[in-house]
Amino acid sequence: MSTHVLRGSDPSDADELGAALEVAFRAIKNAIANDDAVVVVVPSEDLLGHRSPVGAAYVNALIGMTRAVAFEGARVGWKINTVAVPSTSELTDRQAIDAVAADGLTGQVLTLGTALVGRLIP
Amino acid sequence: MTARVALITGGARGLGLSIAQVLAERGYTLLLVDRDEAVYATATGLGGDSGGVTGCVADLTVSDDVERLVEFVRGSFDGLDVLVNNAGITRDARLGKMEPEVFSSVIDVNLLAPLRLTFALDSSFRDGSSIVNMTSRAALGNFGQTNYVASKSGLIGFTRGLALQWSPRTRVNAVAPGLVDSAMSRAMPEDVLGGLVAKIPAGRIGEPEDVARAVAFLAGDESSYITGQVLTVCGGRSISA
Ligand SMILES: NC(=O)c1ccc[n+]([C@@H]2O[C@H](COP(=O)([O-])OP(=O)(O)OC[C@H]3O[C@@H](n4cnc5c(N)ncnc54)[C@H](O)[C@@H]3O)[C@@H](O)[C@H]2O)c1
Repeated sequence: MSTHVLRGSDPSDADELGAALEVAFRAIKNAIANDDAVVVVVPSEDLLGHRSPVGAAYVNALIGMTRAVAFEGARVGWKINTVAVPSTSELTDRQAIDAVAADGLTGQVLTLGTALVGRLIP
Repeated sequence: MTARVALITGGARGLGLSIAQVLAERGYTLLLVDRDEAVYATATGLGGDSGGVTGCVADLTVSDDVERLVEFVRGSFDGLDVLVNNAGITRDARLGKMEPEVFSSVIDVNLLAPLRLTFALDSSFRDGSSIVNMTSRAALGNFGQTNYVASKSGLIGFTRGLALQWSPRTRVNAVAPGLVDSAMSRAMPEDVLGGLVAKIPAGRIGEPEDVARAVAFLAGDESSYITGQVLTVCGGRSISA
């Protein structure tokens, strides 16, 4: 199984948000159709809305997408997770893939960095 | 003291109607907005001749309608105390069969429309105002609902981001209902519905009033120290096995 790494964009208004979500949906749907695993990499600041309401809407919608897809494909082995990293991080695709490599890990949000320790779990 | 003003989207029927009933009982002046003209009858039924409940037809995905609505709010009220972003739709399909257009149509109504309306009303909110966004327990994941889950999870993100941005003037919270007695649940085969109810620790399906009372709590001053939170109203389903 190869892995598709999806890096989100940075929408700043509702129009851009709608367009960005449709792009992500198409990418995830194609990856699953190709039997690829998926890792979605997002800025951790947007999990709880520390940068902007639109950014938070986008990142949490991506997380919702990954949870729904994981739920639907749990029995047939689809693997899709979210890795949240500080926006200043230079996490490579390989590192993102390795971070969620464990068997059976799907539909989860893994948060790297310490800024959100002690905060709400998204 | 003048009555507090609440705008409820999707107010023609279902949960929106229930929320309107509870807020009307608590003395709010209401503006019910819906794309369905039934909203006029709903408003008349609730308010009688009191003038305390107004119906307004608007499709919240159409920018002209939103502009008209915002002008109406500015022209009719001194300010807004409560906004309940309740209007929502489902268009379910398995991932492989969900066309991008179907995905985006649900995002448009459930996520982009509340976002646009909320920002457009920015200058109307009074100090101490409250926004309640109607999300869903399904935001945690659900079968055949990639679009719906994404929209409701996105709405939770918006809730948190806006709560930080608009504090302390306006509190922003979300209510996440589980299975609620509605036209949709009544259309399910009895055995399917029975199976779903069996998984609810509370042992019964949710009533619209269960949700409406949670919305009223977050709308009012009893919750004045609560912002950026999600109140899950699901009889314990979100923690059950
Ligand atoms: N009923 C449930 O079990 C349940 C569970 C969890 C969450 N919810 C959420 O609660 C909200 C209300 O659900 P409901 O069961 O009462 O649904 P409903 O279909 O009975 O009512 C929704 C109302 O929204 C209106 N609406 C839809 N699109 C609109 C648009 N573009 N512009 C203006 N109005 C529009 C409809 O005309 C309708 O009157 C929705 O956001 C739904 O996702 C419902």
